Amino acid sequence: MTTFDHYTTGYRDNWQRIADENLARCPVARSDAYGGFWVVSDHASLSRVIRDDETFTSTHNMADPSDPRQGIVIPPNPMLQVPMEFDPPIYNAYRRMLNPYFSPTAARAMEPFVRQAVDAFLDRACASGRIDFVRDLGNPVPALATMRLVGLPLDDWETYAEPMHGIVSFPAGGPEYLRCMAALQQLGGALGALVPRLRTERADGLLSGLCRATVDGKALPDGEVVLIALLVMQGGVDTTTALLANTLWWLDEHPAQREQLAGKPELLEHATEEFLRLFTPVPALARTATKDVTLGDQEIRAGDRVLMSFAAANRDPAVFEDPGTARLDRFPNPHTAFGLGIHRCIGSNFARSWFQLMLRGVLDRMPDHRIDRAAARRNESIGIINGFVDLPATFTPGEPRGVELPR
Amino acid sequence: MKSTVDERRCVGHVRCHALAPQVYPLDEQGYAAPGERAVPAGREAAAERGAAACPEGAISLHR
Ligand code: HEM
Ligand code: SF4
Repeated sequence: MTTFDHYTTGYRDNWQRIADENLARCPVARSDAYGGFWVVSDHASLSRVIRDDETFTSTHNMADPSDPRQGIVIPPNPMLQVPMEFDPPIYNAYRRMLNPYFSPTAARAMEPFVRQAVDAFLDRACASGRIDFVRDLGNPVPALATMRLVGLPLDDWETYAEPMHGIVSFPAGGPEYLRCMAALQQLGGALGALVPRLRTERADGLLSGLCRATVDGKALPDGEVVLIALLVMQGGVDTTTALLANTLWWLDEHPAQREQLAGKPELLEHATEEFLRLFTPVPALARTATKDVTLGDQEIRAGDRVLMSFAAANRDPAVFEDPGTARLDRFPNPHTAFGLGIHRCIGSNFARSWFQLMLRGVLDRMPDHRIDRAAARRNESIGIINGFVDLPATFTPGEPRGVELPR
Repeated sequence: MKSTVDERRCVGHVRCHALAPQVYPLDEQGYAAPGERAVPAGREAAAERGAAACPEGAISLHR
């Protein structure tokens, strides 16, 4: 029995050591936090859990808290995540309906928009010689891109991004978290108010698509339209931010690699996978066992909650040679940062594209930047997202390019 | 050389397509087009890299 608790500052500050210890000693471990759950660390067991959706369900029974199936967050999320907390066969129908909005083609089509947003936000900072990579770039660009994807007014991005950012940087269930959750529910109300018009009028974006979509031959109820849009916004708004912040923090510590990356853009493709592996912006998500099953040398019982540590699996020496070291050209790199199996991050094509465009922008336009490491602040808790709240930096001021925010 | 994408395993990570777009075309869902197809001549090495990159082990190559 351990006291593994992924929301503590101890975990935040020592997650690599904790992961490595679990991998070496107890790759499937029991924690007594949050009513008890298993922590799965090794790549093989995690792959088995995440690919066997019959034995390890994502279902979240909101109506009955005594049902052990409480979805993919420990402790359970107060809002249902549609369709992330659904299982096949109905899940597959939702995913098929959503996939075209998130395809590589869709991500490529959005590139000019994102490039313009990157340039516009860098323009705002470049004459001053100071930037906060989270507040001034990493948060706004994915927020704007997500608003565009969903089809919401771009001017409102701060209203949406603030609670999304808050909800993942504070410990689940705490007062700040609850404040953000209330703000999110309000946003849900605002989204819901858009639905009736979009049922009849055609508009751009996912929200309009959802209003006209059918799943299993039926139109989506208003509530589900809103929940899907909120999930996409939660997925889109803060994860890529965290990947960018961790990468810039790391490159600041490793100037030789930074130079290499700036000089050789073709390195970025493999390096992106290595940064995803090393920083694992979404460190862990959960399932519930539906039957008794042996995992590693542990007996899992039906109804047990199981936390899959993507962060640990990405450091498993059985799969990754010298796992603690960044090798920007590592290949193959079967990391689990986007999950595996049927729920594989639907936003992964956007995430890779947005991340690369933001990083390119910084390396091109602020090549000599230095991060103010003393003023940087990590999320209070990395239970949901391993990211930063503040990441200030200074650089030699440059000329703005005169790029306006896209609208 | 031929490639087979097992559609029961493919979940659309698109690592195969990123490394070898001519070998692994995508379907309208943005997943690797399933089933068996011939690897275009001269693309064998790319086909192998694309197969190795698949985190689901969904791709097999054969003569
Ligand atoms: C580096 C950035 C990102 C990381 C590390 C990440 C991570 C993940 C992971 C691990 C899952 C799997 C959930 C599970 O198995 O239960 C997931 C699912 C999901 N992600 Fe992402 N994500 C990222 C970016 C994005 C973006 C940009 C979007 C939207 C534009 C997004 C939207 C979603 C959605 C909607 C799901 C649910 C998929 C489903 O269950 O069908 N994510 N993400
Ligand atoms: S990398 Fe594998 S899972 Fe991803 S699209 Fe290609 S075959 Fe499918």
